[in-house]
Amino acid sequence: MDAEFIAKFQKYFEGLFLQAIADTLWMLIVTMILAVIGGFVLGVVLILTRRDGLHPNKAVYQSIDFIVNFIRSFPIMILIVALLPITRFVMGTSIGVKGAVFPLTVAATAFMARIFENAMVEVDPQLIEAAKSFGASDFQIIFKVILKEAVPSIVSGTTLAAVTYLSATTIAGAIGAGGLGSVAMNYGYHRFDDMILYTGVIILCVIVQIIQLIGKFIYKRL
Amino acid sequence: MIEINKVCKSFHKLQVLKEINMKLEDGKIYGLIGQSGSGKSTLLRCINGLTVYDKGSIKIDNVEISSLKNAELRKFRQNIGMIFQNYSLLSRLNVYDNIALPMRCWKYGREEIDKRVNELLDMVQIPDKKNAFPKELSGGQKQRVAIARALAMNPKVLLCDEATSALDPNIAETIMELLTEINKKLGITVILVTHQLSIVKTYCEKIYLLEEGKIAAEGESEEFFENPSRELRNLMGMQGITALPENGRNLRIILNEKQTDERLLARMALETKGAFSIVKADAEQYHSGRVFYMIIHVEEECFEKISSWLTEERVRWNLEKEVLL
Repeated sequence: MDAEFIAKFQKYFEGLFLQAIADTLWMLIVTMILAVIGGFVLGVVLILTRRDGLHPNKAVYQSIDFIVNFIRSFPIMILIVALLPITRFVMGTSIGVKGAVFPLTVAATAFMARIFENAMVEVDPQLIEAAKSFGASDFQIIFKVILKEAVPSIVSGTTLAAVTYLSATTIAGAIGAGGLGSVAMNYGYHRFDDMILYTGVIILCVIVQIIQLIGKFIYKRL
Repeated sequence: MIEINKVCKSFHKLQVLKEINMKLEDGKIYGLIGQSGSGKSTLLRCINGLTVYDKGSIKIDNVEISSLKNAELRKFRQNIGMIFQNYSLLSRLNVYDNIALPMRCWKYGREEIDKRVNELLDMVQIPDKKNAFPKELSGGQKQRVAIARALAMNPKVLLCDEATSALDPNIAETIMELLTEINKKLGITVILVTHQLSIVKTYCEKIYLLEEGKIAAEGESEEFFENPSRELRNLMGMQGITALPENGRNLRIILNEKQTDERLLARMALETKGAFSIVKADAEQYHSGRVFYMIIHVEEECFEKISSWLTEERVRWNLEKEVLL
């Protein structure tokens, strides 16, 4: 029994889970890298154009604010389905890991834009006044003052986003993309194979722990 | 020289500054007092262009602030340092990097920055805190770092927005001593916005009192506080009120530092043989020196004798009226 179990586990792990872990991590890492870049740009624009920002611009602020809210109002599964035609157009396919990265990036970018905005809004306005008072340019105020001060909350926000979008990759997995979500769903749930289902769950738990550890490590080093 | 001419500023419908006129000479310490919402902080921010005024003109050494655009204004701000109530330091930079920040923004060389920062650390007397982070410093030390940073670009004017308001009274005094020392050593003009009257009284040469966006009173510190205007009494609240005896006359006698050594009261009693009693006596430290004042109460029939004796002795005096708010 034991030997049989181990043999089965080994077979599935090597044949199924290794690839699934790689797919999931690939989706997550690509999504997060793109989302951090996109979210940073949007966040900075939001900070600049908000009412008490350095270059208030109601039209720009409100349109980006609306788009971010609009994207964030979709549950991830609906967003993936709703974006199917655009995904096919942009990525050339709407299935598999490649097809999942696009909608995940769209959703995560909106999420990260808020993380950046909130982190930067928290910076004491008087600190910005002080920077202005010694003649810092807007560019310097953003990079040398606001971002510098906001880095800790950006790191914790990004950690939060990484965990959130790890679970999003599994939902994407369940509706067509690969990865741990699809393995747990297709091989575990639909075939009543508890071992596969719970192995998937445990692997996800481990990944979450690792993400938190990395986040904590960076936060402490700041 | 800072010339402020008919400056007006409104936020939406609220008029915060109403035709402010001021002329500030170089190298002096000025105090700007008033209740919260009187527009004193707004006025201060107009001087370095943090707030754009609607009408009027502010000229610093004949440069009109509102005529400066972006890069020009940024360059001009090097001449005007500013410190704040909550210190406004970057929590994630150490003391050295905080002080170096303005020079880094202006692309100074590494050696030049190093030399200047060490100089400034000595000036504000915290050379040992060079590598500390703001959270490891006390309030007074943080404000010293902020002062050093504000002085990094060698400004001619230092604006202080409630810079001592968050500090313990004795720490606030050491910060003011430091500012006075810097003012003397560098000839920098200091403009102090505060609601702490005791600070203004002791350290400022000239004081402006703002009330609802207008300059309601102004004067050299000693005369300003010795003959308080209605507006100043208003601001002081109960602090400035002394209950005076009702019949007879109440005289306020003001003695300078020299006169306090002259046994004046004893001589007055002997020479005039007039009866009087002391209602209140106090000493004040002004920028111009120490002043001793007292309020004495005399009977109507002695008033003539005593007042003419005081005038003969060249003692400043005036009739003290019951304070009506």
